[in-house]
Amino acid sequence: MNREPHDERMEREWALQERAARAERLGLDESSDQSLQRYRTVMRALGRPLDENLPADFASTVATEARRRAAGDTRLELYLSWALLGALVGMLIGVIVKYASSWKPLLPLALSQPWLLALAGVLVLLAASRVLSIPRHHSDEGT
Amino acid sequence: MSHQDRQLVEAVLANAPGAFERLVREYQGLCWHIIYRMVRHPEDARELCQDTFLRVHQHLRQYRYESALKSWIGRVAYTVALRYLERKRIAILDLDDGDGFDLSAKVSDGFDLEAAYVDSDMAAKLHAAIETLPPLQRTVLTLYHLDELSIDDIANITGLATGTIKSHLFRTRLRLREQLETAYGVAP
Repeated sequence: MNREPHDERMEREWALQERAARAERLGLDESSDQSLQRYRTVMRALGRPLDENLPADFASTVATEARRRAAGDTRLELYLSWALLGALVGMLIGVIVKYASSWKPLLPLALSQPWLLALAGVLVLLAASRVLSIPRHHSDEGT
Repeated sequence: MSHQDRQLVEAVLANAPGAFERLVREYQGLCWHIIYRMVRHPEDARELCQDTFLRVHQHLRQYRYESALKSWIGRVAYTVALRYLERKRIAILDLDDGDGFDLSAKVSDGFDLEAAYVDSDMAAKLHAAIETLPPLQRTVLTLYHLDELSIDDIANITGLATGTIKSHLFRTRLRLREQLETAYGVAP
């Protein structure tokens, strides 16, 4: 509303529009001001509900669909996690088979140091827990 | 951001039974008003509303409580509708609609307002005139008058400046009043 040369006129017109909108919202009595009355007619039309609406079961349908999609996403991630775990186990077996002969001389040393075995056990458990953990997804359970 | 909104969001994120359905029911009216006013095609608008709430469900963790939930959801709905109009190559603004004050001679989209007036009452005539407005103006008017949102809220939803929203409201309401006066032969 700040453009020349009509600033003052526009501000008055804006104020009139807002008065009409307020009068319609509050359901005030009709005014003798014809300009205001014409704006009130416009505001009344603008406040009318739309002819078309969403179906009554829209919310439950959308919630069901959202739940179905979230469950689908979780399943996919679970399959991918298992596939990754399988690939890692396969690679581990490959490495063991290939380098087993060169590790044999180190075996007595490892057995003589129990803390080394404990450390290796902890690392294996940590890696396994990460791979096996399933990401939690929010889903709507209530419908 | 109201306390109720925060509770509702936290309930949805915690998978509380029925929480997401409550959220949809709470904001489906706003979503419908934005999308139907922009798109004007009932079937497409229903699908886009569903798409909006599925996006809300998928991305709710990204909501940072910085704006009101209705503004955030309204913004998602507005973006979804905007993309639809872009795909259909439909302009959201009337390019001929300048900033001039004297709009009395303007009738948008070649719509025959006089013909539409013949067998209908005054409200129906205005309704017909509103339907001929460009998508953005229609939506802004509906959000302000039907949903009773503030100009700031509408600016948050549409990403437009508050001055631009005011300007759209002002010019469109003036145009509607002038069309009403023209139809009834009343001197402004």
